[in-house]
Amino acid sequence: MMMKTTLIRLIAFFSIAMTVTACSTSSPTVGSGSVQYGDAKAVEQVSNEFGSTDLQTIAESMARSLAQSMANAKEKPLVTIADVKNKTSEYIDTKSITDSMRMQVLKSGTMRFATDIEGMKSQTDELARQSQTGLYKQSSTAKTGKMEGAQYRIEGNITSIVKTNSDVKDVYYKFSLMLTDIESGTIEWADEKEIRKTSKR
Amino acid sequence: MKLKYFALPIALLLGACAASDVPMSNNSFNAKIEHQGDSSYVKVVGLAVKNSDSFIALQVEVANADFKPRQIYYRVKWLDESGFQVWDDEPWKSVLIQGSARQNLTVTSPTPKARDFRIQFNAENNRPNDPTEPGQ
Repeated sequence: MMMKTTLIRLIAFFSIAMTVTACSTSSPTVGSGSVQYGDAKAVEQVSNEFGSTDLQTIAESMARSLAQSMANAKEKPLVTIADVKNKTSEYIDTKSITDSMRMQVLKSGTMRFATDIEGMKSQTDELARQSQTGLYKQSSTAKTGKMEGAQYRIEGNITSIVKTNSDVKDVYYKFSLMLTDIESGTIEWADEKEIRKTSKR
Repeated sequence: MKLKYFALPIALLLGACAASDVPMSNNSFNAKIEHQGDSSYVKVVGLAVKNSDSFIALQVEVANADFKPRQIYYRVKWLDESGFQVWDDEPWKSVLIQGSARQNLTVTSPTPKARDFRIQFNAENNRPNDPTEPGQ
């Protein structure tokens, strides 16, 4: 009787152990696990220098304001992005901000963008390669003289004011952007985004 | 024939209704808010929705019941009429609400495809006796 009970317990134990082993799955990862992926949209508070959250919120705020300003336009206006000057004392990749903003405005479907000054060389190189080398079928080559000129130009700047004392470092950023009608030279839209970051020293 | 005299005022009235602020009742705006953690101090106390120029504009009113400034975090999920998310996850926004103050947070939808929304609201560090809070 005692032998039978022990046998039943042993069978139950091994059954549970096998079930647990069969159910456990390993994560599809390589490496020791010391590296972790984080939330790219989380609020970054590592330091009070310009960071990912600042870039994301500025791009989002400007893109939405811009998209809404053109929501009533009969035709999607053609826009080009000119320079956004960094007037702060730190390194800020303003191109990254305007790239994110352009992507969001394009996705909103309210504007079209012409090739900007930075992209012009690769645009003209490709156009020349297709139309002047004689390597391509005439029917499929991009023709010269068909590029569209932008109606509007976007430009702006980012400035900062930094104050420090023995306890606190306070940084204030202001990102300003404006949309200018290239033909008339009139400013048709402008907006700004302010950010304040304070840290204890 | 006389209908034409009423057509313009009716059209203007309908247009005004479509573009005007629509404050939501407590029950209906609570269904639009996904609370992440409890908050004893900062609470959403009002929500107004405006549809204009194919975009949705939201005005979320938050109130801080504490005398100290309190931090909140929020973002909006934009959905189409079927409940599918029509825009990438937004970055979380961090806002400081001054002590004993009410503040409006305004948000505009990123695309005319958005027909509905959910506000993700996080005020986790606003719980009383929060062990992560300095001085507790």
